[in-house]
Parts: sequence; C-alpha cells; structure tokens
Amino acid sequence: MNFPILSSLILLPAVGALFLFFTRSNKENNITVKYVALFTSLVNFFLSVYLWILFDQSTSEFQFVEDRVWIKDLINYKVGIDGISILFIILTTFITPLCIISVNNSIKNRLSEFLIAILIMESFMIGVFCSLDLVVFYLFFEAGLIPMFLIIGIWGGTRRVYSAFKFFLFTLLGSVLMLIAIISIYWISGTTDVVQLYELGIDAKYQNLLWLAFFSSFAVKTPMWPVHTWLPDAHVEAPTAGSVLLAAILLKMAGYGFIRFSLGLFPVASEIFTPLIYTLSVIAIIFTSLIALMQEDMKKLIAYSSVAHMGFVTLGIFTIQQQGLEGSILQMISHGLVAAALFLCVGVVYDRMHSRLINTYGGIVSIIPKYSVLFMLFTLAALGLPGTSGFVGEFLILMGAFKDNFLVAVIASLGVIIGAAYMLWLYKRVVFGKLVNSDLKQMVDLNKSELFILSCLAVPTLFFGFYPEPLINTIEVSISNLIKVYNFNLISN
Amino acid sequence: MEISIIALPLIASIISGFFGKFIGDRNSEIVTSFLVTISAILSAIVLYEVIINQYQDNIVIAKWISSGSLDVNWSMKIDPLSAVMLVVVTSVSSLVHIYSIGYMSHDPHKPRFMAYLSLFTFAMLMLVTSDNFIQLFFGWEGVGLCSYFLIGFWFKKDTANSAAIKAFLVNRVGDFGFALGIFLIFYLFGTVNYTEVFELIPTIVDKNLLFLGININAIDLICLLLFVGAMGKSAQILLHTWLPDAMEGPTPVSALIHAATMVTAGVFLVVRCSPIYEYSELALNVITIVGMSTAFFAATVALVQTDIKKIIAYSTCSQLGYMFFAAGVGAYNVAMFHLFTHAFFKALLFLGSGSVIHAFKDEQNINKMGGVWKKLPYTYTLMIIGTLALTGFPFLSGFYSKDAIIEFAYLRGNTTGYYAAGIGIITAFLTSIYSWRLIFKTFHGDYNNKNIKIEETHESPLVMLIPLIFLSIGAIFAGYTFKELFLGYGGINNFWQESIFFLEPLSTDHPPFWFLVLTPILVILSIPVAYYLFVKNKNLSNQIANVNKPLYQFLINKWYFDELYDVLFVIPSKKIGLFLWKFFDIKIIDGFGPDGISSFIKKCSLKANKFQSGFIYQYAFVMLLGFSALLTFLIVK
Amino acid sequence: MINLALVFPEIFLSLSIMFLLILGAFKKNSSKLIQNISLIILLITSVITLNETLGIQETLLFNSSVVIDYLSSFMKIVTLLAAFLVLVISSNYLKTLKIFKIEYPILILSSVLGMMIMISSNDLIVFYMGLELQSLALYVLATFNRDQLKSSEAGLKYFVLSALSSGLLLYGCSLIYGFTGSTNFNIIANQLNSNEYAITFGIVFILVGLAFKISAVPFHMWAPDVYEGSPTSVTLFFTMVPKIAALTVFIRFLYVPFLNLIDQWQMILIFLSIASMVFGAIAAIGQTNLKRLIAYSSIGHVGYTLAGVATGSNDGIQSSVIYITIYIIMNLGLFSCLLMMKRNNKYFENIEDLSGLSKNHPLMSLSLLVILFSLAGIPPLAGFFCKVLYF
Repeated sequence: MNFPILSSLILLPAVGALFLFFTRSNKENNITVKYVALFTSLVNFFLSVYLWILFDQSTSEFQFVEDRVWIKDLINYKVGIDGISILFIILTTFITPLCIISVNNSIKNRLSEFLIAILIMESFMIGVFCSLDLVVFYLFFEAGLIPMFLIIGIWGGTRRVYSAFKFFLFTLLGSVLMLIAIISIYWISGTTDVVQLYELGIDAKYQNLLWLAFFSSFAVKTPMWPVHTWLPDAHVEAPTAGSVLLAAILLKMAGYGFIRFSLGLFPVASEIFTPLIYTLSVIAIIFTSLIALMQEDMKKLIAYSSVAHMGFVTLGIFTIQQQGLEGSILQMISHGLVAAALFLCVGVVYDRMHSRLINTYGGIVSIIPKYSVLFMLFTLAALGLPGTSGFVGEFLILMGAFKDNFLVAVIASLGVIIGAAYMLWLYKRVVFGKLVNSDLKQMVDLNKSELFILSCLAVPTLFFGFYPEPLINTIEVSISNLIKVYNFNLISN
Repeated sequence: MEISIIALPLIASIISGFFGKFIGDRNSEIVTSFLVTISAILSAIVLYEVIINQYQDNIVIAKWISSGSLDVNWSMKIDPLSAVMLVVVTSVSSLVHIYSIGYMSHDPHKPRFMAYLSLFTFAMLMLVTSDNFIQLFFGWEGVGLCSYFLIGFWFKKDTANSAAIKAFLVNRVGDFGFALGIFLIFYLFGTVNYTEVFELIPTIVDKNLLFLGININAIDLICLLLFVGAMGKSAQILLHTWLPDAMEGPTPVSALIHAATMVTAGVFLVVRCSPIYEYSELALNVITIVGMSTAFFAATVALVQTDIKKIIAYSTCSQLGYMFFAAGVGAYNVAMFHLFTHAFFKALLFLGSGSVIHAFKDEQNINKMGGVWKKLPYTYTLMIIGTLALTGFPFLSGFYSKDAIIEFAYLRGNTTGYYAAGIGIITAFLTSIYSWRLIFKTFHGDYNNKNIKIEETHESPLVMLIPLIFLSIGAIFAGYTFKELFLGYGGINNFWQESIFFLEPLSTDHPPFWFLVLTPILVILSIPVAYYLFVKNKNLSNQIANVNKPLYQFLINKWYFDELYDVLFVIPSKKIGLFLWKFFDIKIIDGFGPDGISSFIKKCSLKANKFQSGFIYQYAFVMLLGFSALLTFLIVK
Repeated sequence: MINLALVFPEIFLSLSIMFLLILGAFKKNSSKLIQNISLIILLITSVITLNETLGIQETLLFNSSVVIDYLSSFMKIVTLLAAFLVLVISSNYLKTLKIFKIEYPILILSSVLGMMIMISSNDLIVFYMGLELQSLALYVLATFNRDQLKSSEAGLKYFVLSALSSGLLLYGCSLIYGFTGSTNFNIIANQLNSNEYAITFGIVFILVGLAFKISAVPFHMWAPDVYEGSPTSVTLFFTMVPKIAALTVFIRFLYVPFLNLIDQWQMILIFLSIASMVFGAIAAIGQTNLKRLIAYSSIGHVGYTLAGVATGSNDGIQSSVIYITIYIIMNLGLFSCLLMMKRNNKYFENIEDLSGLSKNHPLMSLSLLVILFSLAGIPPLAGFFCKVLYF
C-alpha cells in the first residue's frame, strides 16, 4: 500500500478545481472548462472503480488506510475504507461526471465557478466517506455545506436566498451539536480515531447524550421528519445539477454517518433510541408521501418523495438486521441513482418550458417519446417495482424491519402504496393525457448528452434490480461484522 | 428448452419495444407472435413430458438477492402445477398475439402494443415458474405493471389513464398484504423457498403470534396475508374495483390479462401454497366466503350492466370467485381445472366481444346493438359456444369444472360448504341469465344503432377468427378431455404429485342425483327465460327494473364500492396530504422552526438596536447597571 | 543595565515618536514621509522585540513592575504587526477622504506604545499608565475625520464613557491597594485574603473597566456608535489592536494576583463571555450598516476570547491567544476588502451596497466570502479551528 489512492481520490477534484480557477471562463473557453472538469471527474471515477477492483471483499478491516499526523497529539488525518464506504465513494464519483455533463444548458453564467463548486463538493464528499477520524469527518461533512450553499445561493431560482439560508441554518444547527459531541469524545476517550474508538468503546453513561448530538446533525441531513422542510425548498431553488448532487450524494452522508458512527460508536444508545428512529421514520414515510401526493411542483414532489425514501433508509439502519442494513445501503445507492435521474428528468422539461409546475405539462408522450420511456423507468424504480434497484433495497429494509417490529413494518409498507400513487399520478399528469398546451408541441426530445446521462443512470438501476449481488457482496462482510460487534458491545455493557 | 419458454417472450418484447421502429409494424407483429407461439409449443411439450414421464425440475438461472440468511434465485420450477399454467399462459397469449394483428390494425402504436403483450407473457411466466416467493412477487408486480401499461395503452383517454392507475394501486394494496405475508414467512422460517417453507410448515402448527395486538395462529396469519395479495390480483370483492375499469384497455388485453391469465394468479398462489393453506381452517373458510361473495356479487352486477366488456369483466370476477371457493373447500385441483377451462371460454368470449365491437366500430353498449346475428355468423356462433361453456351447458368445458366445484363444496360437509354450494347454484343461474342477456341483446331483436347502418357492420378478418376457433375448440373439449387428468376420479392417476398438497384426501363420494342435475337444469331453463325477458317481452324486464328502482340503482352502481372508497380513502388522503403540507410543514414546522426562529431573532435584533439609542447618559446608565449587577451577584453569592 | 536593554523596544518607540513629532512640526507636507518612517519603525520595533525575547525566561524589571515573558513578547509582536498592517491598508483610504495627515501615524504609534506598556505591566500603576496613554491616542483617532459630525460625536462618546470606566478602574485599583498595601501583582498575590469583600469589589471594578475596553456586553454600548462614526481605517484599528492589549491584561491580572479567587471571577467572566456571544450575534443580524455589523461581530468574538480566559487553565489561555490572533487576521482581510471597494468615490457602508459585488469583483467577492465564512466559524477555515480549540 504505497500509492495513497484515497487521498488522490480526495485531492484530484480539488486540483481540477484549482486548475479551473486559473482558467477564467468566458464564452469562448466554456467548452474547454467543461472538458477539464469532466476529465478530472472521469479520471476520479475510473480511479474509484480501480479501487473497487483492488478492494478485498472478504474482510471487514479498513483497507487502504492512510494515517498522517495533522495536529500533533490531537488530530490525525486518517482515511480508509471498508465495504460500506466504497459504494458511496463510487456513487459520488459516478454521479459527479454526469452532473458536469448535464450543466450544458441550465447554467448560463459563471460556468467555471459552478464547475469548481461541483468538483470541490466531490472532494469533500469522498472525504466524508473515507475519513476515519471524527474531526476529519466533521470537517468534510460540514465543508460540503459551503459549495452546496453557493450552488443554491448563486445559481438558484427566484427564492434562492431564502432557500440557501434555510438549508444552511438547519444543517449548521445540527452540526454544532455534533462538533461538541466530537470534542467530548476526545475528552472522554483521548482520541478521535474511529478505529481506536471502535476498540475502546465509549462508556455507556455518556452514550445517550453523544448519540443525540450526532443524531441532531444526521437527522437534519437525512433529512428526517420534522427537520425536513429545508429539503423541498432547497431542491426547488437549486439548479438541476445542484439538486442531483443534493439528492444523490449529500443526503447519503447522514445515512452513512448513522451506520458508521451512531451504530458503531454508541450501540447502547442506539438500542435505546431505536423506537425514536422508528417513529420518525414511519412518520416520514407516511406523512411526506401524503404531502407528495398533493404537490403541484414536480421538484417539490420528488423532494418529498426523497424524504420518504430516506425514511426507509433510517428505518432499515436501525433494525440492526443483516437484511435491514444491507437494504438501507442498497436503497441509498438506488435512491442516489433514481432521485438523480428524476431531478434530471425534471431538468430536461424545465430547460425546454421553464416551468416546474405539473399542470403546465400533459400529453407529451407522443412529442418526446424517448424522454417518456426513461422517465417511466425511473418512476417505476422510485415506486419500488421489482426488477429495479428500488425494489431490492425497499424489500430488504421491510424484511429486516418485520423481523424487528411488526407494527413498524406494516405501517412502512403502507407507504409503498402511497408511493406508487403519487409517482404514477405525477407521471400521468405530466406525460399522458391530452396535450394541454400548444406550446408543448415545440418541445424537442432528448438530445444526445441528455440521453447519455439518463441511460447511464438507467443501466445500473435495472442491472442492480436484477442482479444486486456485486453490491451485496461488497458490503456483506462489513455489515455482518458491524452487527456482530454491535451485539457484542450491547451485551458487554 | 425450459428457459427458452421464458426467454422467448422477453426477447420478443425487447425486439418489438426497442427496435419496432426499425423493423416496422408488420415485422414486429410477426416476430412477437412467432416467438410466443414457439414458447407455447414448447410449453405443450413440457406438459406432455410432465404427464407422461412425471418430469419435474428446478432450474436455477442466476442468483438474485442473497443477504444474510435470505437467499433468492432466479429460477424455474417445473412441476405439474406450473406446467399447466405454462400451457394456459402461453397458448392464450399466442392466440391473443395473433388476434391483435387484426384487432389493432388501425392503431399507430402496434410495436409498443405487441411489446407490452410479450412482456406481460414473460412476467406471467416468471410468476408461475418461480421456486420462491420473491420471484413470485417479481412476476406478480411485473404483470401488474404490464396490465397498467396496457390498460392505459390509449394514453390520450383520461379514463384509461385513471383506470390504469387504479388497477395498479388496488393491486398494490393487495401486494401490501402479500409482501407482509412474505416477510412473515421469512421471519418464521428464515427462507422464502417453496420447498423449504413447505417442509417447515408442520413444525409451527401450534405457534401463535402477537400481531398488531391480536394473538393469532402463525399459519392462519400467513395464509390470510397471502390471500390479501390474491384478492387484489384476482379482483375479489373489496379489491375488485379495478377490474371493470380495466376494460378501458384494448380488448385483446382484456382477454389475455383480465380474463385468462393474470387475474388467475391469485388462484394459482393459493393452490401453490396448498401445503400452507391445508393447515389453516380459518383461512380456508375466509377464502370460501370471500369467493362465494364475489361470485354472487359480481353476477348480480353483471345482470344490469350495459357495456359488453364490463358484463364479461364482472362475469370473470364471478368465475374467479368460483375458483376461490373451490380452493377454499380444499379442492385445489378443481380450482385449477376451472382456471384451465375458464381461460379458454373467457378468452373466447372476450375476443368474440372484441370482434363484435370491431364490427360496430368501437361501440360497446349492448343497448345500441342487436339483430346482427346474420351479419356476423362466425362471431355469433363462437360467442354462443363461449356462452354455453361459461354457463356450464352440459358436456361443454364449463359444465365439468363448475359442477365439480359445486359438488365438492357440497361434499365438504360443513356449513360454509353447504352455503357455498347453495350460492354456487344460484350464481350459476344468474350467470346463465346475464350471459344470455348479452347474447340476445347483442345479436337478436331489433337493430338499435343510430350511428352506423346495419349494412356497414362486417365480419372480422380471418386473422381474428382463427384464434377464436382455436379457443372455441378448447372451450368445447377441454373439460371432457382433461377431466380425468385434473380431477383424477378413482385415484387412478396422480397427476398433481407433490405440487398440490392434501392434508386429507378429497372425498370420493358422490352427491345425490338430484343435486347433480339441479344446476344443468337451471342453466338450460334460463335460456328461454332470458329469451323471453330480453327479446320477446322487453317491457317486462324494464318493469322489473322500475318496480325495484333502489335495487336496480344499487346494482347498476356496482354496490357503490367506488363511491365508498372515494369517501373512505381517496378524498381523505388528499385532504390529509394537503393539511400536512400547508398546515403542518409550513405553519408549524417552518413557522416555529427556521422562519419562526429567524423572525424571532430579527425582532430581538431590532430591540437590541433600539436599545442603542445614541445617548451617552443611557450608555453610562447601562454600564453602571451591569456593574452593580455583577457586584450584587458576587455579594449575594 | 540589562534592565534597560529589555525595554529597548519601548524606548525606541517613544524616541521615534518624539522624533516624528518634531519632524512633522518642522517639515511641511511630510505626511507621506512620516507614514513611511512609522512603518519602518513598527517593523524595527517588532524585530527588536522578537530578538530580545529569544532565550529569555520570565524577567521582572523595575522593582517587579514590568514583566517580560513569552506572552508579553508575542502579544507585543502581534500588536506591532497589526498596527503595521493597519497603517498600510489605511493610507489609500485616508488619501481619498483627504485626512492623510502626519498625526495619524504618530497617534497610532503612541497608542501602540501605550499598549506595549499595558502588555508588559506587572503593576497596577504601570498598567493604568499604559491604558491611559493608548486611550488618549484613541480618543483623538476616533475624531480624526473631524469635519464630519459623526466622527466627532464618536470621539466624544468614547471619551466620556472611557473616562467613566477609567474612574471605575482606578477606584478598583485604590481599593486593592488599600487592602493589600501594594500595587504590584506579585505582592498582591501574596497578601491576598480571599475573605475580604473589598478585594472582590476591587476585582469587579477593574474587570468592568477592562471589559469596557474590549467592549464586552454589557459594557459594549459605545462600540457600535464609535465604530460607525470613526473613519473606517480607525475602526479597523479599534476592532483589533486595543483588544490584544486588554486581553493580555485580563490574563495577567486574573492569573497572577487573583488566581486563587477563581471562584469569584470565573462566574463574572462566563457571564460576560456568554452575554457577548449571544448579544453580538443577535444584534448583528438586524444590521444594515456594515461597520455596525462588524462592531457587533467583534463583540461576539470578544465573547469567545473571554471564554478561553474563563476556563482558568493554560489550555484556555493558549486558545484565547490563538483565537485573537486568527481573529485579527480575518478582520484585516475583511477590512482590506471593504477598503478596496468604493463606488463613485464613496466607500461602502451599507450591506445593500454589497449586492451585485460578485458581478463586478468576482475574485474579491470570493475572498470576502471565505473571510465571512471563516468569521462565522465554518470548517475548514481558520475561524473554525479557533472555535474547536476552545473545547
């Protein structure tokens, strides 16, 4: 292990961003700028795939660990991955190039700054998923806010400032508590190194408060009910690529955090607070699904559906069952693909008609058939149809939940029905029916790059629906080890 | 070979769906029909093998999901049960494919239509050949999806779209129960494989569970949950509302999906799970009651409907009820037998009605037809055959299967059994009445259509008639030919082997003779009655309707189920959604959350700034105040 | 004679000030020259300070009334460098406002001299002397743009309130002297009898005086008005430099003589610190004037700094010192941005003026953004590290 592959993954996009910073964008070199960004992110993607190939699936140990002193005796820059992190890293590196391709039409001014923000964001996100030191994690976790804040605040819609601040305040409030918790952990255990903390364990009497502090941060980011209201606003105002990043990757940080830290570090507290998580998750699933049913704005609808889907994720994580946890991770990956695709689908029609309102559309299937087909596919994946990746995750989660608690599983399953209702209704109102508006006749079907992006998302959505084994194999050992350690800690405390 | 049965329709679907534009309409029709037909022939060979050589196999195609103890494969289980289903599905499907070439000849989206049909066939085959519950679920939702696509095929029609969504959602409600059933099975046994689950069933006979506050026997619970899924898919009462609406789709679809195959999946599920159901007296009784209620309810509604396809749809619903109560009284093989024969004559009726609709240029109201039996001789004959088979006219296929159901219900010997038998006979009579009403109103009497002249109605092309003829052969002879095989009178052959499980062997007694002849007599009697009511003396039927106005309204509004569900579920969930959004999210969470806090802080900030008046004496005063406060604090402390 | 060598920086500085005064009085239009010389002087002073510190343990001079140690040297150097940078940044601004006069650098130098004395003080009298020296210079600086009503008003307000606080402070000193018989910190420490109410009174009086200097709530009232009224370059000076000195005195005063009374003053400090953080943050939100906004934000930051002092531990002091250093760097950055921005020859004062900045000055808006994020304490920027260090 000589080549610091993880650090390269983290740094590469930042280097690309730096490069862009010095090539000012103007009308002439917009294309160049885009190619630079695209090239950087693609290299990163292939690097991460290479990482996956090198990755040893048979062990739950952290791999590719790099450990450097940052501030002596205090913080070590420590990164490393196990089966859980690697999938998220690949998701990140996979979505980013697609985002960069997608900015074609939507971003008119200051393209290079926009791309810088995206690349920096990629850096931070990868950092989040592979850091093995709480402080390093926290830094990356919070730093991810800044590019997102800028993306919404600068390139957003009309109410962008309100949304950006709402987003910022919500997430900041949660994170302050987490910071305090991290510092307390340092005082209690004398280290912020996650691996050491796993071994040392944290005294049960502190766990509750620490868990709550971490929870407050993760809950906002997930987002869980009732701190979800920033998400619809943020999505509505964010430009398409921003929405995609937000839905596909940013939301996954919290789920990852729950698995890595809440379960890993505070098993006793996790056990105590499981009912809380269940309650909130179930409320999220049912309430936000019902809310999604009534939305008039396509992006808002999908945003609310994201909340519901993430409700499934949190539910699955805290079942502490092999099925539930694996389902959660699959669901996160799948949601990353599907939500990204759905936001892109909205972006496609938005670029043409400049409206996100559902009633602007109707009967467009015969005008833009390719779009309709792909949109249908993602709609189906969003409602968890077997054969799409959405199904595997959702089904496993519910299976795990059922093992743990009948009532929760039953209510959560009801969400699946409502999920089908709002997605199909959305699709019907947008795509089917009579042509409501003669302007719609001018719409052109997907161009090559759009078709390419959506196909790139469609292929894994279907593939992992029929054959999720590559994903499951990657996480299997890590998850079972996590559960084993969890239960061991539970008993020994 | 076995795998190609499943693969061919999928390939056909992909070719037609993605490359339909390149190969042209006609070619995609030919390709899909051809491949599905091959698949049908192969299925027939498999069935032959199964009958002759007791061939059984379980082919694993690939791993699907393996998570912890959960291990699910893509697989293909060949046993007598799935072989029968294979034949039913592929043969009806191939006939419908061929029929569609004629029926959809004026439609601009032929390749898409053919692709959906083939895709449906694929999903249905996945469903019937699965060796575990999750692949079954895959097929289950897959057929639901195709049904959604096909009902909404004419996407410009708003009613079609709504009907499609309704079908999908009502099925989801059923699937909700089904999924819970699967979860429960996994929870109890740690596996979802049929063989393993069925082996483990006897070990938990006495196990009780506390489920949502109810203490219930585990097996009962499994059975009931699975049955909820079956109810959704097979349009049993309470979850039946989607089926009549589903007639918005093209008629071949109704024949294939909503008569012959998909809707029978529920029956298939119950029969497949006979090793579980056999241990649950409660669930069997529930199935019987639900089945007979549906049979009766649907028959009454069918009596007054005027849409030719809706009549047949309700008839399907009713026949499915028969199948369920056959399963409910433990006669799974009889249920399968009726499923088998029903597939033929119901598909025949649907395709025949399609032919009629075609002749009348998309007119579906039977009040606007009549007197054309001479103009449409083939269609007329074939419809008569279908009707005779459906009503159970002696020696046609329906006679054998339906009468067997009633007999077995009677032989069950308990209260529900007798009830079921009674209802079965009444329903058989009603079935006969509404079927003949349909025939008489459509083909006899005066010509009632004002839009097109009688001369313009025309017989369907050959490509549509040939599948009808094949089906009519099935409708006539399937009963007689396969009676011995399916029902195995005298125990001479054990066709079903382990695929159907009986805790106690079925009774081999015979019911009394009067009972045996009761149904056929009623059925035959009903023909002149219907003729009198609907041709000879129309006023009488109108008078009956007028006298019993409330009852008539009740029936014509389908027992007000749709309205009830609207009030109970649809409107409240919209209202709740709106409330949660506008009030809860915006007013409460945001109001007290970010917006509230920020406005609060802004207010504080304004106050703090007002405090800063600019006068020195005030500043000095505040300083001294602060100073004294600190001092006081220390002194007091 | 070693004693004198150790205070050489102060001696050098005072001599230079006198020299510059004479130079300014006799040479016309010498403002530019004096500005440059002052810059050089500041640099030289800091080099000398740095030089003498190396290899020196804590040393007491002049009957233990002056102390030289690492803390004092570090703080002095920070003060000097900050003053240097303020001078560099402000020259353009002063030119535009046409108040580029010889007095400006001289006043700054004198106040710096006062601060250096404060920082080194180990005796109440010496401390008070330094304090007054720097305050006097600051009064004048506040009114530097004397043709403007607001500037004069600011100076006056500052003067009056400052006099009040000085009075309190002196009263506290005399109380302490009365009860311990000495003004020397070390002797006070030895003589201390914690049961005396009067000592507590004395501490409170002195703390209030100091709190005024660093504008901690509730003794902050002058700050927004004065910050707003003074010329921006002076505001910059106000927000940073006096705070360094006052903080040092805070540390020395509380940790040398009164460490044993930590129970008494800790609560006060915690109160001051929390009140400042909260009030600063809340009041800042509603501001439209940039300088007032900065005033409130500096009040908030003072709160954080005090929190470090309040811990009563070495780590706390360390982090306080680091915090204030980073705070100074950030403030310098912020102001240099502000001072670079003008439209139609008018400097921005209101937040609305900033809108649309990113279009015209993208690079600057980016740096402004980074600084603001840092001030708000968002990782991974420096401001965050100071906050982390606290805990």
